[in-house]
Amino acid sequence: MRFLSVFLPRLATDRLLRRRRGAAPEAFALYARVKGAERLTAVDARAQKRGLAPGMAVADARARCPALALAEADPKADAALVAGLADWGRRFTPLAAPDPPDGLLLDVTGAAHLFGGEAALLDDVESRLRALGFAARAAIAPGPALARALARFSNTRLVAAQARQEELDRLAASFPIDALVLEGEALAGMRRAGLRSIGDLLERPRAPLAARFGAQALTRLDALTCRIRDPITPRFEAPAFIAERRFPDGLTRQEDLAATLTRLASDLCPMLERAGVGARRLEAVFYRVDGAVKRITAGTSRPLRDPARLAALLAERLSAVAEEGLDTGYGFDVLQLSATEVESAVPPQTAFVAPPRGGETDEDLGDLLDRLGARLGLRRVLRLHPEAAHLPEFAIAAVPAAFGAPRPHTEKCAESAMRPLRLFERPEPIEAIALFPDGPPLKFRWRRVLREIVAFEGPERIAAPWWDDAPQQFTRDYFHAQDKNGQLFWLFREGLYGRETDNPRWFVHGLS
Amino acid sequence: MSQSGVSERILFLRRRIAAIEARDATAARAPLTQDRARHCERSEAIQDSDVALDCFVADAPRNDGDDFLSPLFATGRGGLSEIFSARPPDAPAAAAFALAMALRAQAARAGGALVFIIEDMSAREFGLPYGRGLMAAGVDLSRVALIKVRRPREALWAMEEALKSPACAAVVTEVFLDARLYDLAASRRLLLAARRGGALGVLAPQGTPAGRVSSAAELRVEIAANRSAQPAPLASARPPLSPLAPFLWRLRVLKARAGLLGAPGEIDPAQWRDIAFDPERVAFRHAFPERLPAEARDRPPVAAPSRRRA
Repeated sequence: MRFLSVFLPRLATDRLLRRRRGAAPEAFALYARVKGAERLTAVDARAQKRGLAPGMAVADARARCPALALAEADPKADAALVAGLADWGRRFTPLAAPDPPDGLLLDVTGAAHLFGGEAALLDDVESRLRALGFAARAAIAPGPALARALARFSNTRLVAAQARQEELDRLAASFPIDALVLEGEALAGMRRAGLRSIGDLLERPRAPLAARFGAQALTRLDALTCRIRDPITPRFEAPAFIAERRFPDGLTRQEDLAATLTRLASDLCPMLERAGVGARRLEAVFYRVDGAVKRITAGTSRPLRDPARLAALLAERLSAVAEEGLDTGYGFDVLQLSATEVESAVPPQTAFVAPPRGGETDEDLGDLLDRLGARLGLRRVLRLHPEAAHLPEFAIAAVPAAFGAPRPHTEKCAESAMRPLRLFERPEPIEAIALFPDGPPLKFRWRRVLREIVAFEGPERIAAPWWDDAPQQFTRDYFHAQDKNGQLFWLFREGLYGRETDNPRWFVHGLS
Repeated sequence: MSQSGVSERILFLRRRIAAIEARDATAARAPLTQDRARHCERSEAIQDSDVALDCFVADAPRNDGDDFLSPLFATGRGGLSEIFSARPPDAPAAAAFALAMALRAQAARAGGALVFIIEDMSAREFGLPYGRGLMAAGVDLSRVALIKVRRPREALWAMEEALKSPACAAVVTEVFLDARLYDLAASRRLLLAARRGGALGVLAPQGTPAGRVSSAAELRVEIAANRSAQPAPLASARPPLSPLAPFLWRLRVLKARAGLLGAPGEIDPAQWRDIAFDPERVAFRHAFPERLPAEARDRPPVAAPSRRRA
């Protein structure tokens, strides 16, 4: 196992200074109000050279360095920046995790050779971060805790994979006990006991240490010396199927991006085919030269592993995003395409399948709906599923097409009563005049127009589902009614007069 | 009904009778084809149940001239038509007519999917297509997709995509259109897409009078809700609803490409006519005025004189 840790010592100040590169102030620091006093929380390199340090009161710092520029600390923005950098780190490996408050952890097991070896990878990471305006130090070690400590407390950048346990112990012995990252009393207790470095701890017998400082201290110690396996929690689950391309110069034109996506799709599909699965959800990630990361996702209505179809879907999505404005900046230099959700797909048997009549297939409809869904949004492409429910609004479920097609229904709808061709999402209340309290309406006012009914059919009584523990619902009496202009309405009266309510309300539920 | 409307109906009846006679003559000689046998059975069933409004119509074979729109549904041809509503409240009727045309196109193609593209504003105004109602009209829901779009531009894009796809038999788009957005070029694109995919595109624009739009569509009709039902003399004695009620319209052809409506002079396209759709047979036909209920001898003398004449 190989882990790369990145330490960003001046993350907070770099975040603000990046924007005004070139016009940096003499000295810069961030402050926050701690218990009523304003204290520095982070200082940049020049301020540090002048003797300023985090924890100093702002008034003292001003006295020492009158030209000091100050800004308020924003821990939330820092955390967001670390998360964004973890996204950026995914260009090196899919297993990238933020290491708050000021670092990243990458699992680079088996990935370093893609960047010309581990030393080259470290140089690459550091120089790219420097180009983005961050002070950074990176280190690679067999365990994440050791890599983290190396980046922060040592000049060693690289620990060989085949290093023996004694060598690791010797390396760790020089770190201060802060490298353990313990919370609360344990660290202060160690200081009181005169334990300054990891070496001091390693020399002591384990049982008394555990009794005095807690089992966690020992666990951390073992992690630091790589005695236990200590995985990292990546920001995003690494997809099983991923293809990527890198470009020395960033791509800026949309056609280039689409063409690259096509090639990535044809890289991805053999992997899917080998595993016997098809993609249900695709994610394309674009890494911009200046560190920003853009992602587009597309869903499919059935397992897909046809490169042309996948590429068409992504191209559709890409042009939809481009319409809203895809900020290419200086270009995208890494493109990744991954299948984030897959479903097993049996390869179709081609030999004995008769060609479908008329030439059109469910495949074609699925393609169309996928394409529309990629552009308009999956929730806007719906299929209508008949449901076994009495209430008209629940008798049909409008389900996104990505969830699959409804079963072909065989039973004719003849047994059911007349239903309108259009239904309102929620019934619209009307004022109705009826001759009898439980009779059909005579006239009603809908959308401020009085309508006179000349013909009607009904009532059809639909009771609320009593077996549900729903809040009390009234029985509905439905009428089809035609007004003088020939318009057809589907009305209902809510509540049985005298039994459930004394003034039933009327609604228009549908039109035909 | 004006003079030309009456003559047109007589013309239609004559043609219908000729068709029936011709069929009887051939039926005596040739054995019944399966298709025709089914028609006969069905027509008997309809007569038995006494639902038929007009036994001539129930007896008639398919596509014998009443279906004046049939050239539009020639297999694999593809086309674009526009359904305008006469007045804003007639929009649901126009949408129902669009559905009928889509069903007709699906039957002509013997399969294919129906795609409904509905703009959000239209859905708020008139509701969304209701699955149970569609099922009752004979739609197979497993071949239906409902697309909700936010803007007219998206609706036109989605319509073009759907028309191009070989999966679709018909695409119905309900949208509040702007004449600036939907012009000759845009409609020409749609028409070409429909030709390529062999699908029927039906556009039901709302909020725009028909006169404002110029397009490349092959057929443009105006639909009004059928108001044939007469107001009853007594409020308590309102007649029952016609079973075909959602599929009865008044129709006027505003524009038709040459040859679409048969030989010139036979019918007057610009005339308002009553038209019905039979979901069982998936065909359009003339809607004859419904019979009025028989009047009781001893009714009170308050009925309007017009009704007594009828």
